Amino acid sequence: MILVFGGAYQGKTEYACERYAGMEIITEFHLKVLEMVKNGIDAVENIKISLPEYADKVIICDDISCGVVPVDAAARKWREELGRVLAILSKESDEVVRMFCGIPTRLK
Amino acid sequence: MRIFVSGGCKNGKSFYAQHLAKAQNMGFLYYVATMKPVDSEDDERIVRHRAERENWGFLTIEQPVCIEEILNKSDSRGSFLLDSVTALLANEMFLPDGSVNENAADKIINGFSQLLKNIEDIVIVSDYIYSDAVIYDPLTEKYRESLAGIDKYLAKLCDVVIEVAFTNVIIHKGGGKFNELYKTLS
Repeated sequence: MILVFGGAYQGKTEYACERYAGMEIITEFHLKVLEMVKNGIDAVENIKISLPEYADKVIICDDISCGVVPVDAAARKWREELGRVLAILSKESDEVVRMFCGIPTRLK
Repeated sequence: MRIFVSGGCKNGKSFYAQHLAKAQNMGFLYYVATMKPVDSEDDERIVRHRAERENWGFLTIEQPVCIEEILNKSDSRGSFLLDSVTALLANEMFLPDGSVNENAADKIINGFSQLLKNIEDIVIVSDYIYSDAVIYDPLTEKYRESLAGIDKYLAKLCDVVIEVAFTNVIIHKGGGKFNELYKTLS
């Protein structure tokens, strides 16, 4: 599993398509987690169970952890759940890349 | 050299950028101010920032739009500090008559391409506004996407790309060149 994260519009997908050509890429993982939160699904448990499914895939996810604490309760929950999910994915990934203004940094 | 600086707000980017601009060369030192004041609070901020910079020897060029025009107002051999891309985009995108220029990013990228062809020493400051937990309205998203497009263009063109995180510095590009310059700072 490969995790590519970073702020919105930082060139994550473009980079992944080039660097990991041929691998299946899951984009906008942060929205997947948002859907789970909205539907009352425990995102952390769900991701843990789904790990084998992601083993050979590239996961692309926006980092939404650096703004003001949202007023909206669902958004707060989303932000925290995604943080926990990304920690799990980072731990399980063979490679972790953070994108900044189109420049990749390999964290793992 | 051409240096791009970004990061979150209020973490020391501008101050750091001023040091770098001053260290770059011995010629004229220009501060390119892009913010257009909208209220008395902005006016006060501008007066304060200007007083701070004067002690550094900066000459201020007010350039809220059409960034390439600073070439007509300066000696291109000088050292420039441009703060910030964020304000420049807001001015180019949200026009005084209330309309929106959806192609503002292209206009700015074109301006920077002229600028960077003619200027050797420049520090350009932007803001990293891409990591908060908000689904914005389409207009705000367009603004964020446009700023990211300009940031990526500048990061590609610049010799050095720096992220400032609470006064800590991450060098994403051009570490060798940066270290040479940094030696003259400390």
